[in-house]
Amino acid sequence: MIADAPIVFAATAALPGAVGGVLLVSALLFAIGMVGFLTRRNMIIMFLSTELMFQAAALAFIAFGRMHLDLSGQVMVIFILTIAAAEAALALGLVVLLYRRRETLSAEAWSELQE
Amino acid sequence: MIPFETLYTATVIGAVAMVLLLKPGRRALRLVAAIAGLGAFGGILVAGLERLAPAEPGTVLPTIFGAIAVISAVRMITLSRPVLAALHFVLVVLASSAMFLLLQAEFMAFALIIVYAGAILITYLFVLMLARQSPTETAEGPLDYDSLPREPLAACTVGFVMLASIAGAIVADADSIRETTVAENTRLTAALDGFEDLEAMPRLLDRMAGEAFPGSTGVEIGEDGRRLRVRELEIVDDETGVERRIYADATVLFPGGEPPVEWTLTDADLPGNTRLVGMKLVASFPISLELAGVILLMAMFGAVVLARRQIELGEDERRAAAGLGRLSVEDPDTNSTGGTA
Amino acid sequence: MSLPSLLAAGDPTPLEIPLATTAEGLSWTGLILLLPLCSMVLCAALAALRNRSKLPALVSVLAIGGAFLTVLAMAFRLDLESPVVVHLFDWINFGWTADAPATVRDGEPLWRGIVADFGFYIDSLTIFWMLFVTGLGTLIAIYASEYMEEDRGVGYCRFFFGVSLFILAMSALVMADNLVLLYLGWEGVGLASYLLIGYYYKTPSAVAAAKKAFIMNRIGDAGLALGIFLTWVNFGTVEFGPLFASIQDPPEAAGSWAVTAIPFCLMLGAFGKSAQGPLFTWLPDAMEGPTPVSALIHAATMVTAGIYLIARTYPLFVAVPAALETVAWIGAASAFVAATIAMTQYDIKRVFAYSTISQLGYMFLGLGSLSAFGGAYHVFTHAFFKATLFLTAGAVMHGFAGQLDLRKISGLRHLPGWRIVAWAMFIGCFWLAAFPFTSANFSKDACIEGAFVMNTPSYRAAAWLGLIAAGITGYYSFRVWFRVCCGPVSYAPGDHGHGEHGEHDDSHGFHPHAPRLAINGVLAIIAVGAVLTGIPAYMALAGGENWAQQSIAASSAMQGDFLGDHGDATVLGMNPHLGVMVLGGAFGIAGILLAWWFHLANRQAATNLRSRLLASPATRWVPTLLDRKWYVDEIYHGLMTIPAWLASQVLHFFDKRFIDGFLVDGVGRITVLLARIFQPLYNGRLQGYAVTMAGSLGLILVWALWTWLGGDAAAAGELP
Repeated sequence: MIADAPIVFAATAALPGAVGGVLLVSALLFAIGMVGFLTRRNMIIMFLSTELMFQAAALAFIAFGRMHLDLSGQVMVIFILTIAAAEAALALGLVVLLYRRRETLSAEAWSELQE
Repeated sequence: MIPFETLYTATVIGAVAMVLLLKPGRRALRLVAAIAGLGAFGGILVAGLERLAPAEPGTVLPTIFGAIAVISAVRMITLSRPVLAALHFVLVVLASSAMFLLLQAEFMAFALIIVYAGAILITYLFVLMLARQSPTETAEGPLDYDSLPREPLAACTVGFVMLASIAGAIVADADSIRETTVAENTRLTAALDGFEDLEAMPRLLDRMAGEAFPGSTGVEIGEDGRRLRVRELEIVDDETGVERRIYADATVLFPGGEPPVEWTLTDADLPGNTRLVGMKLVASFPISLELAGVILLMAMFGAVVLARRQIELGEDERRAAAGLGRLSVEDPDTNSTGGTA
Repeated sequence: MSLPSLLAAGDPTPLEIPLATTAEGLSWTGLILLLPLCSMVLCAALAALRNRSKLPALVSVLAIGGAFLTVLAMAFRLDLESPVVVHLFDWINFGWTADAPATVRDGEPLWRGIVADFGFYIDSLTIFWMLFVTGLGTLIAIYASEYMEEDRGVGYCRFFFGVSLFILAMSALVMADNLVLLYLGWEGVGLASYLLIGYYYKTPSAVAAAKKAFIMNRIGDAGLALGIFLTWVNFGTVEFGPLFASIQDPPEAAGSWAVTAIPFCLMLGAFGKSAQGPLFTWLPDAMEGPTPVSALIHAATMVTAGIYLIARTYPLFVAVPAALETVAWIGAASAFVAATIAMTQYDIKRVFAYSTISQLGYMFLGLGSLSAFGGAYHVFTHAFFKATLFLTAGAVMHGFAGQLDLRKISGLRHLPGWRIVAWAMFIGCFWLAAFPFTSANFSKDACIEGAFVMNTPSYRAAAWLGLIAAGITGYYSFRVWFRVCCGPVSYAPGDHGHGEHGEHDDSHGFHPHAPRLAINGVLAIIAVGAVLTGIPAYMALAGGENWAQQSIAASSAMQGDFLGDHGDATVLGMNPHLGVMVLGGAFGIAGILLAWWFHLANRQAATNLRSRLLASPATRWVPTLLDRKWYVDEIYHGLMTIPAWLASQVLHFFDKRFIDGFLVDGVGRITVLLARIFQPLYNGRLQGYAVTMAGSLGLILVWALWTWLGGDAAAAGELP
């Protein structure tokens, strides 16, 4: 049975740089998501930017999981998905509520907590 | 070695490009900015990968998918039409999923597409459409709050300071990252872990044995309580040099007094990613699993409650939108300080 | 041998002051302090109760009278061969261990601590002083009971509170057994003086005069305090008994510049209190107070505190001959200057005030000429005749609704009911002019004689100055008498329109209010007393003992007694005693005759003379100088007031602009500025807050990266 067994990772065995590259991309996506959150005034796009940041975190988890060959990274991403879904549901519900009050999706309509 | 300064310079250029892209301006300027941004992206990757994975061909695919993801993300936050922005986000998710595949997280890759792109983003799109039914929106293009960014300079500064610090941290730790991604070690460790997980799935083992050797009843349990015996082998090949591989031996039992058969398992017999992730989830994170379920339940409750309140308030809002006054001052649902930004 | 030659030989202490003995069972002497204290408290209580009777006067008279009786008892019952120390109670009393101090004498540590208890040092000088202080105090309190009767009520109580306080403080001053208690009394009389001068506190001039008196006294008090400090540092003690012993056997530290400075510092205090030298200008202004106050405090008792101080600490002065000479010269100069000013004053009380300064000058001249007997005896006689004079001026004021201008009153002795006042004034002026064979003549001559006996050119010059001043004294004193009490009867009321005595101020319906029993009685007693003060001198003439001289000779001022030994000094060929008597008498009589000519026989002549002097530019300066009181006030104004005002303007500007505007307001503005800088952070916008949060997070990350990479510098190979 000792044959030239196909190595499962064959196709991907020559991708050691993937982890580093994915990490950098994750950092970039996180930064872009943060910029988007701070910049855009449309509430829904703001939430989308936070979802982008979630994406970046998920990428980082997977990359580090691959780096340490620990499947916990992928399990974390399952939880990230869960939380993202729950948060999206509630957030969008609130956005709709707020929209109904002010007829606008602008985040600057809600600025009473000030001096 | 490309020094750190390149990384930071590229970051700065990227920040400037981002600012320009955010603001609505002339097309030529935006084009230039876009190219500059791409260049910055390339610079960051190059500078980083120089240390992380010097001169490896395996960096091509992550670069491509990464570029797709980043470009889509930038487009997402700079577009003034929200629906398009949401669609670009879908693209980001797809690219991200591809990168998951590159990192041997197959299950997550597809789960991402199904849940994220298929459910969450659809919800976003629904809400976006819903919000645009408002009578105040004109047909003359995007609304004010969509097109004009808010303090782009401060936001980009902050964001790219973060980027520089995170990227710098990653690149500074390049050595340890590099070591752990050497192919051979990875493969061997993965195989060892895989056989350990397989050891923890006895029924799967029995089924696999049944498929490999029809009529078998299962795998024999050795004196140490283990079914598999893992061993390492070195193979010398003229083409590829010295290789080390992991194999596992098991003894398959047959009913009726037939002699057991030795069965050698190779990398190909390892359970797939889905099974391994499932095993990990249930074995190591049972409480988190339950809690995740509770959170989803709460989210459902919350969504129902939020949706219900909407109906009660609809009357007032519609009256206000039609230009009529508030019903009464003491109405607790009305906003006493009204006014938009 | 004569004392001057003794001084020249450099031995300052030929005579030994006997050591004081602490006596038991003499606590009854504390009544002298206790009675005025009770009177003070009672008067204050009566003021609070708004009592409108003469009860405060009664209480005060009883208290001060009781003190006088106690003094008499002390005089007769105590055997004062050596001074007696009575310890009343501990006051300042602490010491330290033997290994702490820095001054060592004969291997023995000098400083054991500081002891300043409430105690009395009773020797003949003390009794001598206390007799006239309490005696005159009682009489003047009786006088004031009638004089102040219009103010019955809170003011009346306040007045007697002040008087009781004064007697208390003066007693403490005179009877103190240590310099600190003396200083307490010193300050106390200053306070009483301030309170009483400013009695009419609604009058701005009175308030200003009170302040002036107090402040000028403070200048002197600084000198006194410094003297006390130096005394303690150099002699190790402030108690008189140990001090005198220490002076006779001085420790190693003594003899340095500090010891020389002590008498000068003490002298400054004495001059401040006794209105000598440049510090005299407060006394004429102090006449704003009620006349009994002027009589008691500013003529008879308080102003003699300076002389008492020098007499008490005489050994310190004798040790430094330069100090004695300074005292003498300043006394002589003050005597002369004040006499010249008194020549031109029209206000009777002012004349008497300047005459007080002048007479005090004689006392200092005496003290400074090693004639402490002369100084002290003149204090005694002066107290009586000056009190008489002031009280007569008070009677005039009381009766003529505040009129004190001697040009406006004349012929008083012909008025019915004013006989006693007129003759009391005569006695006062007669004694003031020191007519031969009056007690004042004896005492004044003793002072001047002492200066001649010292027989140095400067002393002789001072003595001649004193003689000239004697002539002027005769002139101005009888100027008052001839103007006010002689000649045709005419009077005009003053402007103290008392509601009770009715009538409008300057109508012909004005009737002078003749004094009644209290005033007349007291005047009579004091005038007689003035005459009687000559008894010791008469007895000496008759071959007996001069009691005053004996008192001085047995006290700490004993080195100032040398009556008898004149050495080889001469005055115009006569021996000093005779010479001064002749010359002094001659000058005095000449002055009296001049006054008769200008102010009785030919009153217009004075005015004519004055106009002629003013008309001619060569002589215009004479009356002007005297009118302006030798410009001392103006000098003070220029030296002190104007620079102080300038400095205050500068400081005010500095305070307002810099400290207030820049620093204080600036701090406030910084706060507001900082708030404005950070206020935009609170604009209520979600993304603004998010930017701030993200920015802070970024900074923290950068810092963390920096430190992490810095730590792994070697490992990372290349620092970012």
